[in-house]
Amino acid sequence: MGNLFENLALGFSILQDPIVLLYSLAGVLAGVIIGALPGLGPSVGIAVLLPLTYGMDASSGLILLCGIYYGAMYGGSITAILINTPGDSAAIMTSLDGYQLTQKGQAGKALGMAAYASVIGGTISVVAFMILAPVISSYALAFGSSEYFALMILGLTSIAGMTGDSPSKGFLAVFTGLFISLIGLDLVTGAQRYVFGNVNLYSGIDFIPVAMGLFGIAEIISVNSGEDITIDKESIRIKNLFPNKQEWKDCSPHIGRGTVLGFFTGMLPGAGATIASFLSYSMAKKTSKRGDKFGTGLLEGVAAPESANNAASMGAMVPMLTLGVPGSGATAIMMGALMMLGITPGPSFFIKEAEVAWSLVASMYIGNIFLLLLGILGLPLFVRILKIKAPTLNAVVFAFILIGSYALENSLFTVGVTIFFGAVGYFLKKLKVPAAPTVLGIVLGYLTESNLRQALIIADGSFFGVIAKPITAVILIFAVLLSFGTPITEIIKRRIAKKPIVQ
Amino acid sequence: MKLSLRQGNNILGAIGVLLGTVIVVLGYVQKLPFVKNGMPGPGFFPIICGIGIAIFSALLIVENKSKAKKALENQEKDNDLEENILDKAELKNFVYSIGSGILVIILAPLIGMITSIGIAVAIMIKVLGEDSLVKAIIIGAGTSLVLFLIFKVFLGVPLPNSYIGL
Repeated sequence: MGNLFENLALGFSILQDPIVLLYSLAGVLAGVIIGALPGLGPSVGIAVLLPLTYGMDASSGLILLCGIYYGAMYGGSITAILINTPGDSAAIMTSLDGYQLTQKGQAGKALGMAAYASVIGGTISVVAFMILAPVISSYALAFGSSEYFALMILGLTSIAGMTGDSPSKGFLAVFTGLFISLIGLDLVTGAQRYVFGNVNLYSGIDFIPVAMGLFGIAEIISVNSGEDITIDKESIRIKNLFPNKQEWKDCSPHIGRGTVLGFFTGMLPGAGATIASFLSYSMAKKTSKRGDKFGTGLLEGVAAPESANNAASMGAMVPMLTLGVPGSGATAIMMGALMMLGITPGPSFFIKEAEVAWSLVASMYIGNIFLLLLGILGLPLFVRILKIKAPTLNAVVFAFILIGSYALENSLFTVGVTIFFGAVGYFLKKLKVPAAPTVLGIVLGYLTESNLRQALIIADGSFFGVIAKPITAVILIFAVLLSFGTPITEIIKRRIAKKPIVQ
Repeated sequence: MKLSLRQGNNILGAIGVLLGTVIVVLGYVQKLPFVKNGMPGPGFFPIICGIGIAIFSALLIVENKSKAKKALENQEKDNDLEENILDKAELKNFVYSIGSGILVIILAPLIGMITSIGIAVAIMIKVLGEDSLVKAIIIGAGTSLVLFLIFKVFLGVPLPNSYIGL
């Protein structure tokens, strides 16, 4: 434990630099604004603002991106509460009671509770993250290439099987992402793969322009809100943002349960903040004395999902940073960004990159304080931004995407790639094909291939030798169960139902 | 313009089967061996991906057909599958957003990246936001200025310049 505090002190010492603190504040502010815009969630926020980290050192870049991540997680609740339009899917449950509270003239209380629940959930989760992450890392240090290969497969299959409206679409998206990651020169043999003599393709297609297109441009095209927003200014005055003693008493148990549930759900690959907030809301409804009144405007109905979705965003960072396996679109983009900054997440992250790792942990504490201050003091600003017409905001975000994708490689070809994937992404979105598995496929593609190759070399070319290792086998079985468990159970149930009853 | 989710799924499935097949065929045409010296060759993963894309695309068509058949058997119109997925306003967004992006690629080497992005922003605001031309130009110019300060001055990104240095 002493070591834990020493490491945390190291992290806080890096945060003494005012510029780093400014990056954290800027990240949280940008995240809240992006998250508050209908349709734009953490994945879009990180993808669009990723270019701002170009040239930054790894700590600053990661701190900025994390700020965007949890800022956007809270930001989504602002529109959910005020105009019944969740900023992202994780805020859907918040809108159920949040909007009802707005209609009762208690928007301020709902927004205040959303901020407090987010910050409490986030802060407690940082403590859990700080304790758990190094422990998981130390166990994962024993992993070899075959275990890593299995972990990559677990990440890919679970996100494919658990996102979107059909597993076929999820797996189609994963395989497409994996294929895109393989375009370019094969680093082992030097063979040209699917480059067709185009020099721009020799170094492969980076995940950033693809993510900017699939998440950013595709979302901008489908955001179609032109409605005028009318908000009772009195209800969002600072004095009205504080719940009373009884309301705190009612909400505290739900915040506690939501935090624990959210953190562990967030750790599961493919589950994420949306499922966490849904589970937390359902649990709160079941455990509350006023369960039958949920959906009519209860503060508990805001507190439970908000604590869970922010806790889930912290939980999602555990597998990404300790195992190198992101479980969501947002953490996949963050992992790619880390690799761009010269850092490879994985078991040795907390040892080799101790300064970066612990400055990140420290920044999460500070970032949550910024989130609370912005959630209370910045509310008038966010409401004003919400009143800007959607096409104007979209045009400005679009400009950021174009110049950001150019800045990646100083090449207009990259801008073309972004626009192409934006166009394709729009149609895929209409067809309900999830974008996150494609981005995850691109981020993990090279690592999956190289780990399998290494594992096969170690196992003398025997594939059975690779998958027969105990840890590898357990992870692979878990991957199969996570992705195909539901369809297999359905088939078995149908078979049983069809069998005639012998009397 | 009308396109149901069911029709869209079938089109996506067909494109996926075609894409997967092309990836596998190209793997052989580009002489990317599946196995080399007893180890996975440069064609190993791409060919697996091609097969995966083709299989899951075919499964999508089958799944789609069975859902449609079930809806027919239950004599109910499956709203989810039959609803029109194309929206007129979104298609307008699509044409102008993608068009503006292509315009930036064409104009950037001629008049500079910052200037061409400013023009694209102004067009999008004027057409999609139906704002006045003056407002659109002011926001376009303002966006260009902010981008110039962040990317050129603060981050030092070498952007394609025009004769006025933007």
